[in-house]
Amino acid sequence: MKRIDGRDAEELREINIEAGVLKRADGSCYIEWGKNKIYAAVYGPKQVLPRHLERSDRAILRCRYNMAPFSVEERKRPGPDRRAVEIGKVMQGALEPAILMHYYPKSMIEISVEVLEANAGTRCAGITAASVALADAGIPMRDLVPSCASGKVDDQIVLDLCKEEDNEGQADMPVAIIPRSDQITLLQMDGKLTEEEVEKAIALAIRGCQKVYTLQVEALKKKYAGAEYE
Amino acid sequence: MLHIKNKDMVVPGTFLAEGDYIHESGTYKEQGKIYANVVGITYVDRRRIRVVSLEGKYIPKQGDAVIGVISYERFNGWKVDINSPYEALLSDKDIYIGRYDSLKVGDMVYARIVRVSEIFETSLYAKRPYGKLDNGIVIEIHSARVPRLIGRKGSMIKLIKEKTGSIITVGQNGLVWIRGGKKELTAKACHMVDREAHIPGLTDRINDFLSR
Amino acid sequence: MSEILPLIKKQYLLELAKERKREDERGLDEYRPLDIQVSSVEKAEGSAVVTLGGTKVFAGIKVDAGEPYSDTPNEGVMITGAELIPMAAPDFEAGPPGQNAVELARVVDRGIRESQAIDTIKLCVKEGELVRLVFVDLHILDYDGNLIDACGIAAMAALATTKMQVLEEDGTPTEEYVDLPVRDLAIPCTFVKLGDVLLLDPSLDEEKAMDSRITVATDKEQRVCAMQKGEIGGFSLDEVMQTVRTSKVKGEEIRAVMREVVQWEDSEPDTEEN
Repeated sequence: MKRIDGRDAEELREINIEAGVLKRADGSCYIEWGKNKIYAAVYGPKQVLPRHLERSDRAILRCRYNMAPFSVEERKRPGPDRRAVEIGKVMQGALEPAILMHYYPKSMIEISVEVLEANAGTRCAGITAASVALADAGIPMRDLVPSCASGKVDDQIVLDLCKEEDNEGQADMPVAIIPRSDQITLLQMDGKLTEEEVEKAIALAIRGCQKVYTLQVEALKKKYAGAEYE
Repeated sequence: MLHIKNKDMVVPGTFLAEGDYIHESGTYKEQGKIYANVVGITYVDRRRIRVVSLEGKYIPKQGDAVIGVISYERFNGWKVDINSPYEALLSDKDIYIGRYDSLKVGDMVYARIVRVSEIFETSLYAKRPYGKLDNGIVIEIHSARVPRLIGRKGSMIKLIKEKTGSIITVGQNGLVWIRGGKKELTAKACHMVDREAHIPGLTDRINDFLSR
Repeated sequence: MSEILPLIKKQYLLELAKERKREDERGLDEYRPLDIQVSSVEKAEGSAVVTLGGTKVFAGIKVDAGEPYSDTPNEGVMITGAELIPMAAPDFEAGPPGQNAVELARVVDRGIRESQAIDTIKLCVKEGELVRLVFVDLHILDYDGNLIDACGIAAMAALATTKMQVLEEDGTPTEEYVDLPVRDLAIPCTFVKLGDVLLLDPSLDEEKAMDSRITVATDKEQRVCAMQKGEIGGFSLDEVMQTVRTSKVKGEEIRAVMREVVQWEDSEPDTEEN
């Protein structure tokens, strides 16, 4: 059955990823995912401030998610609201397991995700972009972290809900994985699903993540097309 | 067995090899398998595998010569920003300061890293041939490109020095001190190496650029 | 590198300035490469991305409706805000706008407001009760010097391409869209003083090395509509007048670029659009 925007059940929206797009940031990434337009930037590793947060055996991670006032239909007041604060936290939970934190004791890695235009799935796009930005910054990681949501719309389990589907749908489930180990590091769900539907939705989201992963790899390699070293 | 070729470009998580291989920088081993942990170029030398990162901050290493900025005065020395997540310390016993001179915040020094602890506490030595930078210009390139700027057996840096007449001091941390000769041209050539290190034919392009 | 400008760098920039030269070989009165893109974000009624050298800023316009200010019951309201978000520079902290962000927003606002670029009378829906509120939100993505001009240009370009829904007198939205009534293109020009030399469009390092800064905004008639002296330090009257004269010329050059990009015509804008 075709969806509101004509996609098949397992079809992703159009995604474009570009690595290394900002001058000042240590690593950066710009992603267009459907109508989402999102920047991710990484600073670090760097000195920890305030100092008392420093850990002697590893780096600490700070994640910030923010939506620009003009990114949504009704203007949003500047500054993080509770939803943004929660997303920052789950983003950290998704990305940190992939980062080799013990390489940089007593240091801090700061991740910033800015949404300039939103159309459902911003946290998945944000995590996907942040992971590319981390690699762009040269921060050692076990793997990249692709993220994608699945859900239930019109009684069908589908991949990558757009805004209209998110509003009208029956369930929404953002997921992120570490591809190499198939470990799920982001999992949230709201709506109503049977046990079978949960399993089906997670499996579908993981397949979506794997497709997103190839796009992440492509974006990083594209930056160095023709790379050579002596 | 090897899953990639020598000089392949890889990203974090790329499966490199399994079995009897030694994993070196830029890689990690899990359950007998070796993976890349950075974006970079893989080098396989018999049974040794490493990935040279194309990005990344400078991490202090004992013996490295670096260029830094005085960031803070302490009672017996200074804190030095060496363009790294880790700052370095310079004791007033390890630099010669003339009677009417002094080091203040914003001054730059060329120094050698003499000690790095497990948690990257870094100490510098800045007596001759090191010391305070007094003139010229300082530019910044990625520390990952320093080997490219120096070149095989110093060939690239020698080429630039010959063509411009500048004295060039390259810090392992990516800061480059240029004085004398055609300073601005030298700076441009260094920035060009930084930008185009990964594109083949760089040496010829630098040669052409400096011969105009 | 930390945000401290090494003294050796400052010295170098001062020496160059004395010889009337700049690090990137620009003229003293020359802008870095400028790129303006408009209508980049669907959710915003108007938007623009401006890249000026390495500086990249985003302006988004949202048009809402609300009560007018009591002293201007028949005029619409413009509200400008700026966020120096952490991704733009290593030393930008998350949090409510500090002095720099507030000054930036207010200076950009002043140029547009005082030039009367927006015909606020046309933003009145019902006198004393309902007017259009125009929110200008500046989002700094990459900070490499001269945020004021980059933001001023972005805000103006975004406003000049903003389309808003027509409202009935009671506030109900109709199906019609009109252009935001923009009748001028205000352009700010910012200079810094290094030693005795004035440099237009400071790079990041020139800003760090500066003694003080001055911004002059002009309108399409090349009248000065806003000025701001910033940071610590001072200017002589001659220096100020020099910046005014340069701003009139350079402002017009930028205005010409903007006219092309936003396709703005210098006439009373159409209020009907189907």
